[in-house]
Amino acid sequence: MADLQLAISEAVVRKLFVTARDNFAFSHSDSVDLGPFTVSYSAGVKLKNGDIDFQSNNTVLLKELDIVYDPLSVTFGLDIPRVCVGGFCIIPTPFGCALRAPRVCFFEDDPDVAATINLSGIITTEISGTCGMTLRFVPEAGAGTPDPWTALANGVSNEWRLHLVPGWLDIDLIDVADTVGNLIDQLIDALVDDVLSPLPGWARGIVKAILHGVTSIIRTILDIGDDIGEWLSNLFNVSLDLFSFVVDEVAKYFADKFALFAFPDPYPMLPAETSVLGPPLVPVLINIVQPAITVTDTELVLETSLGA
Amino acid sequence: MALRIKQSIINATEFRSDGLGVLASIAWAAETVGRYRGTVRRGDAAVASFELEVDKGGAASQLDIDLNDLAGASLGGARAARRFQVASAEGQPAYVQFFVSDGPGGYQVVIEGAKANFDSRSLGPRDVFTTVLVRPGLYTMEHKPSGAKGEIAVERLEQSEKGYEPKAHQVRVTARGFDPPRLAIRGADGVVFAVEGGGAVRVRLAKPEPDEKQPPRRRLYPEALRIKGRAAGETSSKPVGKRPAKPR
Amino acid sequence: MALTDFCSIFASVHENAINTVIKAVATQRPSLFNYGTPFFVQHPNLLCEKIVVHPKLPPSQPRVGAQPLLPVPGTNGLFGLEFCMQVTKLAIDFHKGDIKLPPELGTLQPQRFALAGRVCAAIACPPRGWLAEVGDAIAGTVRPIDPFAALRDEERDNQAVFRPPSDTPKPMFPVPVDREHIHCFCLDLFATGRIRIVDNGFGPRLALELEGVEIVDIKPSGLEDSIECLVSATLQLGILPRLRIALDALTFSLGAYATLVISPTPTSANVPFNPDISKDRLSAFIDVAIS
Repeated sequence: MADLQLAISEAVVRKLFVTARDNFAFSHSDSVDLGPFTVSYSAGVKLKNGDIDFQSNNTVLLKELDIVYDPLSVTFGLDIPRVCVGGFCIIPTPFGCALRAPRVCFFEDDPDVAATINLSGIITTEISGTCGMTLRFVPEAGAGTPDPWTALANGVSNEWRLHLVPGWLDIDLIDVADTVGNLIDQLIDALVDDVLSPLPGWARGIVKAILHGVTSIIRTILDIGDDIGEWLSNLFNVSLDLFSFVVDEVAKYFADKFALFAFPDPYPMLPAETSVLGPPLVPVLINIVQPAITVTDTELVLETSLGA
Repeated sequence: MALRIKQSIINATEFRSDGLGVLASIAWAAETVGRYRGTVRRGDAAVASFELEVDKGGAASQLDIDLNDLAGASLGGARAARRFQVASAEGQPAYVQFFVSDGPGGYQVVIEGAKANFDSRSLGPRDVFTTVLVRPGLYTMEHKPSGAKGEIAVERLEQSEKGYEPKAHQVRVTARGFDPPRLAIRGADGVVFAVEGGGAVRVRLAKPEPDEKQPPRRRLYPEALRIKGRAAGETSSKPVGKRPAKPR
Repeated sequence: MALTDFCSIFASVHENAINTVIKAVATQRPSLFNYGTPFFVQHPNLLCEKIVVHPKLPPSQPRVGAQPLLPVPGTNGLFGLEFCMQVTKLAIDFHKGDIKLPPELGTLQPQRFALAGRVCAAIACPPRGWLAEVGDAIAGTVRPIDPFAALRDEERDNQAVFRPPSDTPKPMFPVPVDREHIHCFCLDLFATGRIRIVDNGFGPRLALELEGVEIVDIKPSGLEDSIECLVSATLQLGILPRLRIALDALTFSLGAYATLVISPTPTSANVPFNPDISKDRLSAFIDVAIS
């Protein structure tokens, strides 16, 4: 058996996970041209809920970790078809229309609408997956110089870091609330109303009527089918690639950036001290030799030898 | 981003064949082949000129000329007169239609040729004056110099499954007046005037329908949309770092 | 059965690891195990056993724990002898116990540790003629006085009159050292004890408490007992208080890192001893308050 054996219960590691989870924050923006419309977004991402569950095969199950997009601001740029009146046949004949009324369009240039929708805190994706635990040695430049005690006092030290390393991560989607369809409709109406708000009411009505029902035209432009959830999912996941990007960031965060636990090497087994018995003394430093970790279904075990 | 709507359309409440503006057009039946010279006027001032060639048996039996465009080009310093061509099909005249896409309007058009001419200030028997009434309300129609009057009630255009399918309502102007004297149409329908005795037609918005209240600005913040994880086992697993191929 | 069935964190250290720590303390805090008067502080190479120091230990760290001169009795604190004392080759042994203890300490009991080491010391004697010379000089200060004056303590300025130490401390003159007369000796040291978890306001720490100290075979027994007393006092007052390992240190400071409140698991039927000393290991059961 190793010189030093440290067993940490699942509950304690869960606390470490919660701290790591709550420290996660990053933001990202991107845009994509999807033909008839462009979408750009700016997202801030946080993590919520979730749990870890030790498995007996040296792995850790990551369960139902929510990714909260807050803020999430999405801007749609739409090419709305031209809104014109006229064009009807003035003089019909058996051979066709002899004279057709000119088309006069309402807007000075090709209508191009952009509106930003705030979806902050509204969309949450959930990820689950299987992770490993790894203890990684991270050397620090300048460690040990001019001597190990001065370096440690200056915060310059090699470290052992415990990381949760995701293997396979899934984003799973389930049913979306029925009200979402109405919400999108209201959203689109509100969008157009917002854009058309400078117009007098009768003109708004004309524009909307000519656009053959704003909802359906925009839904057609946006290619929203019957399944709003699937459309949103495709928009964020496939077209914008946001979900998968975030999953990568979450994985990198746990695997590289944020350690669940870290300690320096050499490790100060006794701290620097002063007493009535004599002058102040430096910490007593011990080298950590070949540490290794094992995960069982109830605890994480760290075993290591010590060197003077 | 706000759309730049043409204020001329929003503000248009009077449509005159002898002072053409937005949402109105006059079509001249060009029956005689030949070359013509056209002048566009606003009041006393000539603002543009053009040359027109009427042929037989060509492809284009309708020519649309935007007077605002013509006047704008002239203002911009174009010196050479614009040239247009139109050809009549078998058994029917070519039509030269004048309209105004934007701007204050008030245009008159005079076309002079060797064998025929046209003056928009007084409509000929085969000339057609068309107006599109978009704003709901009660309009009056008047013929000068006879003084005949009529009314057009324009209803609000509602959204429908079929979308915008404007109709053209025919009105004849005779010695007895307007036939029919009253019309009820939907918004953005067309009213086509055929005038027998010359003169000019004026349509004016007499009583606009009260405007609907500005709808309250609806929040663009839909209620919470939660997309939850599926039960374990039912997955479309993707390894971290590999993104699905983009569909476009 | 899991190690953390009855606690949040379980830490177990083999006696070899503790001995590694003791060796590290010896090389990084040499002044805990090597003591000497000013002469030996200035000449650490003249101590009985070579002091092994970590090669990068900053010069500011003392190599020898400075001690006052050993007063020469009868000189009224006027003279002091230079001396040195070292505790070397200290090693700990947990129950069952591999160290052969002297009979006076018996066999190592369950939940106990044994310590073995060596105590080396020396008194540095002066050159041969010095004592005689200085003795003559001191004799020169002895003069007769009226017996009543001796009784009444009237002659305050008479420096031969005994006075209890007070007022201004008198300087003690070191007896010069003859390097040929630094008389080193080393004795084998054994001790037994137990380990408790105590908290003096700096968090729970493992404290070694001695129960028996034995210096092997010195005669007469009174001398042995006296030296054992001195060594025991040195260990319990000078060394062991500075060798208390924090409970959190056994967890590599997990408590501090994760701002956990750690405390020793209370003993119970499932945790009869905390810490537990058995099978050559020291094991600590730690609870964590998770908010």
